[in-house]
Amino acid sequence: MALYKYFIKRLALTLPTLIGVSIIVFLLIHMIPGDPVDIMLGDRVTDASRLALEERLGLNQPLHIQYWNWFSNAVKGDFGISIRSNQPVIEEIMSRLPATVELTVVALFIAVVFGIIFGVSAARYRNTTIDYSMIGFSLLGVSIPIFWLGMMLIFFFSVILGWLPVSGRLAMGIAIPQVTGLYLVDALFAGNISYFWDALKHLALPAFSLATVSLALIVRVTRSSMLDVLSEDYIRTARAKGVRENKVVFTHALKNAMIPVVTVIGLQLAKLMGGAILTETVFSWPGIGRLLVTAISVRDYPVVQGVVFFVAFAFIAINIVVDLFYAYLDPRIRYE
Amino acid sequence: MERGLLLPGSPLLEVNNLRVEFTTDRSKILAVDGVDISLERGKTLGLVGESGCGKSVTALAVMGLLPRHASISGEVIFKDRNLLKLRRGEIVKIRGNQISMIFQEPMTSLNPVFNIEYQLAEVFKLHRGKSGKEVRSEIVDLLRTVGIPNPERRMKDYPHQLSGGMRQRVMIAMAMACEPDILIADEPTTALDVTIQAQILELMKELQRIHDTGLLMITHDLGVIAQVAENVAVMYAGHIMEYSGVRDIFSDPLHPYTRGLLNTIPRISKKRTRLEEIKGTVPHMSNVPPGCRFHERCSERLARCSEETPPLSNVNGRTVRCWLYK
Ligand SMILES: Nc1ncnc2c1ncn2[C@@H]1O[C@H](COP(=O)(O)OP(=O)(O)OP(=O)(O)O)[C@@H](O)[C@H]1O
Ligand code: SF4
Ligand SMILES: [Mg+2]
Repeated sequence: MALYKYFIKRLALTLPTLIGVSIIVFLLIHMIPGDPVDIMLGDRVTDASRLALEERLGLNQPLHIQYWNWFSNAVKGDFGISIRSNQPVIEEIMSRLPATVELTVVALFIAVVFGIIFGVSAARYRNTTIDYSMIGFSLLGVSIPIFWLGMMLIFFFSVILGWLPVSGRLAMGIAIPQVTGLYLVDALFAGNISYFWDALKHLALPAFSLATVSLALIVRVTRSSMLDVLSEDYIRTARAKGVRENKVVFTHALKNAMIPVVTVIGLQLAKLMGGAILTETVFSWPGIGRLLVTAISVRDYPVVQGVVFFVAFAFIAINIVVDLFYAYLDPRIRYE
Repeated sequence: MERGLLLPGSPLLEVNNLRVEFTTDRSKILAVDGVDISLERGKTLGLVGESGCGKSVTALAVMGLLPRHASISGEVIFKDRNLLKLRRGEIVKIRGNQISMIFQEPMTSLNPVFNIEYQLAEVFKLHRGKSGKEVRSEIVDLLRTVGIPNPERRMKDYPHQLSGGMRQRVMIAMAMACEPDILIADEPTTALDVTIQAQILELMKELQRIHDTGLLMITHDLGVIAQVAENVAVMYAGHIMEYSGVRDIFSDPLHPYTRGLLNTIPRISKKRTRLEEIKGTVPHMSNVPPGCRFHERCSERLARCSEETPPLSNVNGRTVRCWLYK
């Protein structure tokens, strides 16, 4: 079976999940104890504003109609209007999305690249100092709370050493012309290395804090998966063919060893998204995580719904990508 | 080219006093203890013995494929060079090129994530410096030679799409791709059905004849030995116990262990209903028994057998390690 057929099959399987998620997110607003309108309006409640909000949220209609309206709008990207800012929720999300994407992608990159390199080296140099230090690092890494790590990094690198900024995405007074909203990319588009450097310095600590737990886990899984694979018969065959040890490790073994690692990376993405909320809070990073935290604290339910649905959607999409990669790695899945 | 330089009859491969010891956390395992064997061009040496007596370790030592916790001594002479002394960069040029090996487990010996073409092409790339389309027709020919129908299509398959017999054919194709001087086959048919076994052995003999390959056939099945080997080395607990021509082994086995092994194969002429097993088990090599390694299981044991280890000695032009012939 070709990869694209697998893709379509996989896509079809996603539909029920998507509908399930949308129902839960939709019901969120109805799970607020008491009257949602009262709670959202707080002290500002007047009869006129009550009616207006009820109308706007469509709360005066039967539940299934409400759901249908909400869902059909949501798939078009319309999550309603933020109560706090009166902006469309989707715009609020989109304006903060690049910050979160940049943070998570860089963190994921760090976790995956270094996780695999460290894990493979540990396996290749099993029972040596390299291996032991990797094991030590990963034991430490998985058990560190992001919050605490973030604080410690700020304390050490920003407060004591003064090497890196405490918070934000850019130094005050710098404005990078926006193209993608990803500052690293935009700085390169603008051809401005000092902006790039500044953005990178702001990104370093949050990305590293966010990456650590996943990095540690990927090291561990890669190491044990590599050790399993390296004792397989086909590895002996590769050596018997005259393949050099480096190629045995990085081609014959790694591609097999990646199969469980990819699963873990997929799972780590969910963790990274959760971790992003914490990290964004610690480092005042203006992303979706902070948007969500703020929205919850001021009971801006349309924004909460919008962000949660959006994140769930992103998560499903990422899972499909992970599965495709999985199928690419393992022909036995493709040909099932 | 180099072939002409070798004197006729001079061995292609000579293993002298090979000794392999594994050091593990808890113990030392003496897997191979002073083994001498030699292999000639176009000839087959059978290496036979029960499970755990050191056959595979001997083969892997020749290939330089033993893990790091193995300490190896002795010599493996191939074309005037001691393979045990070669640097890693040199031994990889010999493996799969001049000396090839195939293994017992066809189901797991091929890499599941690469297709057959890739795995065969790699051999040509490594040892002939050819790649891509250049070798496609060679691969097709090779697969056809080892009896894989429809090779143009089959080479796109992944291992899990092939049967055990087909995979072993692919392994043979891979091993023979560079027309090696020596092929080491470690129980190549043990995991296969009887009919497939016969076909695979036939194929190996055929390829051996064409390329004049020296074959080291490792097995615990004397039936296989009878089909393919000219010479036989009987191995037990890290020692060679008897070493002679295949006729002598079958018609006049000298060593009690060889006789024991022969009694385990069914023979129609003798009308045996039940096969005799050799009583007891192979001693574990972390704890080498004193004296003759076989004495605990030997029915012809003498007094000295449990104290003194018999040397490998010459008896009327045959080689045997037993106090009965002293
Ligand atoms: N990598 C290793 N580490 C430790 N001990 C080993 C290792 N490989 C083999 N041994 C030990 O060496 C001894 C000989 O093993 P070997 O694999 O050569 O047996 P064999 O004659 O090939 O048996 P079989 O018919 O089961 O393949 C056994 O006791 C085995 O436990
Ligand atoms: S040396 Fe003794 S124990 Fe060993 S095989 Fe010969 S007779 Fe048996
Ligand atoms: Mg073996």
